[in-house]
Amino acid sequence: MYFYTIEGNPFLADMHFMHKAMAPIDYPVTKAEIVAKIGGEKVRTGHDVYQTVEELVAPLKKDTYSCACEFYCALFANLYKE
Amino acid sequence: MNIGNFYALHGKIETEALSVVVSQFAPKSAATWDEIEQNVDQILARMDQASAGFPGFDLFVSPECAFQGYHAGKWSQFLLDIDGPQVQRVKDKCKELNVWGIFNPWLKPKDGRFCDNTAILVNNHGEIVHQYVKMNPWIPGEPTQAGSACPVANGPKGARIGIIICADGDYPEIWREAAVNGANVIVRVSHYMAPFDKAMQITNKAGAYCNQVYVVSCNTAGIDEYYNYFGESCIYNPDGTEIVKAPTGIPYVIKADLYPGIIDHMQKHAVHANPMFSYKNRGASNPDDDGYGRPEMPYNAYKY
Repeated sequence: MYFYTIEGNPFLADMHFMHKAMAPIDYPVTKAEIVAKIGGEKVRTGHDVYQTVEELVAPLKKDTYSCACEFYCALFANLYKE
Repeated sequence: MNIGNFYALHGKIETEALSVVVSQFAPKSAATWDEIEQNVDQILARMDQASAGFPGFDLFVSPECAFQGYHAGKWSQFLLDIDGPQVQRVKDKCKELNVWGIFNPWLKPKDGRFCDNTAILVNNHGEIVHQYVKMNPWIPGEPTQAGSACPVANGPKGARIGIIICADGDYPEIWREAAVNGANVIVRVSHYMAPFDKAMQITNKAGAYCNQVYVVSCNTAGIDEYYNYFGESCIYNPDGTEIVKAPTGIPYVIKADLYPGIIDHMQKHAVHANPMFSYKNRGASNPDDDGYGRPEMPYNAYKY
């Protein structure tokens, strides 16, 4: 994802679109269940960039999420990986 | 109500409405058993008043010391038996009105110890379903024995009720303990006197916000030989904002409909402002911790 990473012309709404895509998800949930339910959903993560939910969650180290806060913490942790 | 969260709260929220009546009044500082009975009469009259004013309500909350007051020289001579007639009368009234109730008898323990400042939750069948012994007595002026646990009980309409008593609320850990044990509604009964009126409001709001729970506060309103009890009973949203507040120093009844299922939903779906997750997973969004954060307990304050 490109959250705050494009200098000069940042795309600000990536997490907005991610959260829209996550709307059908209830907790607790597993990564596999997220992928099964909305893995094909395309999330706009840049001005001209789209990624599927499956692509976005694939690198996350955790496989289960007790609540939304836990999921988004894992997502943010991956966001800032070098 | 949910102003503490940036992210939209997704999902369908299913909840019943918990209709809570909080009655603030002053007991006599009982120096005779007859005055104890007069205090019980007052509790029952307040419950009848609630049934008249708020038909169909679910939960009645009365202040700390409502059975006995706190007579400076004689209070310890009038400790109650959990199976005694005074407690039985409020149990019978709950059954008669088909409501739940929270009451605070100061009890003589059956094992011979001095005194337990005890809150009880009575269900609508007249059964005591929950007892809590005050964990933080108001020392040195309140020489009761400190309780050792803050359990939570299932109440009506999806409520999971934690009860704390007066000075308890001055210690942030008791609120967190009740919330961690599953409370979505924390009830604080008190016999709180001036000049601590601002302190009671501040700590109630902090308890609600920091733990994402409804808070129901019921305080004595009146005077005795020593103090002015300021009342100001209040019910708070989980973001610490007031839903309804009683005035200062006079008998008064407030009522609110709470939605315990909202608390349960927020604990699952809130992205920010989710203290039950974040306090145990500090820094979980740090890339070096891969979403796990730091689960160890680092606070010296809790390792004494």
